[in-house]
Amino acid sequence: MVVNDNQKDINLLNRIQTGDKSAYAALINRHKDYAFTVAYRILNNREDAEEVAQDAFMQVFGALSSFNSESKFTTWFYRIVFNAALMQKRKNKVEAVDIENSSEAFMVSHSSDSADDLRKNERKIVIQRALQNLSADDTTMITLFYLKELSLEEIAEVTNVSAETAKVKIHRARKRLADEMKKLLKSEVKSLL
Amino acid sequence: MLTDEQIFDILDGCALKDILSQHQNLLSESVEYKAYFEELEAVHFDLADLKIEKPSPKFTENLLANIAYAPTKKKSWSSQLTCIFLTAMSVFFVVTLGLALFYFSNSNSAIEIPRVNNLEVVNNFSTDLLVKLILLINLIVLLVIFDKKVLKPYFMNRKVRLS
Repeated sequence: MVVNDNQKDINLLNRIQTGDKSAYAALINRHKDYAFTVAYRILNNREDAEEVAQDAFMQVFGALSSFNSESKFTTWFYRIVFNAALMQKRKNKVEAVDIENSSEAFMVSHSSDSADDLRKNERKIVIQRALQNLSADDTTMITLFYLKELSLEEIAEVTNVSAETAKVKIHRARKRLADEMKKLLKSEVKSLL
Repeated sequence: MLTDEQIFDILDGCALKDILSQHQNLLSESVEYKAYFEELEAVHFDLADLKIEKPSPKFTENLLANIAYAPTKKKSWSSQLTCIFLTAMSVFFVVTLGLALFYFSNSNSAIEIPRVNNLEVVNNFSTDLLVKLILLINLIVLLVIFDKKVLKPYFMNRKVRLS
């Protein structure tokens, strides 16, 4: 019998509730990358994102009794990550420069790549910078949508809006991202000239 | 021209047929539309290609070090109540069945069983104090099970929703 992902999560949660220590690690390893990615895209800082992801897991372990096992674990979990990251973002008024630093390092380390690879890498850097310039709400919408882990209805549940609103928000966020990328690419061309 | 929403629907693969045919026409007729569509398409594919970020290698280890593990739960007496009840009922059933079989297997034997008035036996049985006591215990057990399996989860769920 094929056990779906949510059922695997529920099984792990049940094991955690009975005190099975190996289940904690299993659950963390299943979701740490996605949790970290969501937090990182909102916060633009690796240390803060790691702290937020860890806090989110701690909150999960502390509130297991309040989890309704009939709902999807990831929806509940991403909501915790999303709220924790937003709270952290409000605390940090100062913008992080993580990606700028990493993109410079990236350019140096990939100097031997082909022109096509370089163009692709350059676009990736620009898109990350553009994401930094968007609001936390826009970034979250885009991140959750392109992680392809949640359905539109689940994204709506995580962000506490209706599915229709979530869809409109995702469209608008992508449009703003496209505009932001255009702006960044133009300014880069200008600086090269 | 199509709206941004309609273009993103095409890129997400959820556009309606008439929008798709409009899109095909616009692609072949309008250079401006084609450029705009390709711009949004590039952003869409760039986003789809974005890698999943990885936390530090010691993420799990650090987190596990900070966790206050839940104590291993031992099954309490009340959580085993259903099993105890079912086991007692099974034992009662098996004993009754055994006695009945014993009685019928010995019915052809030389021992003569005195004939009794069936109505009187049933009457005595139903008014017996022991039967009343058993019924009362069963009722209490059923109420406890109902409270644990139905009422408690319902109010817990309600509390979570309200909070």
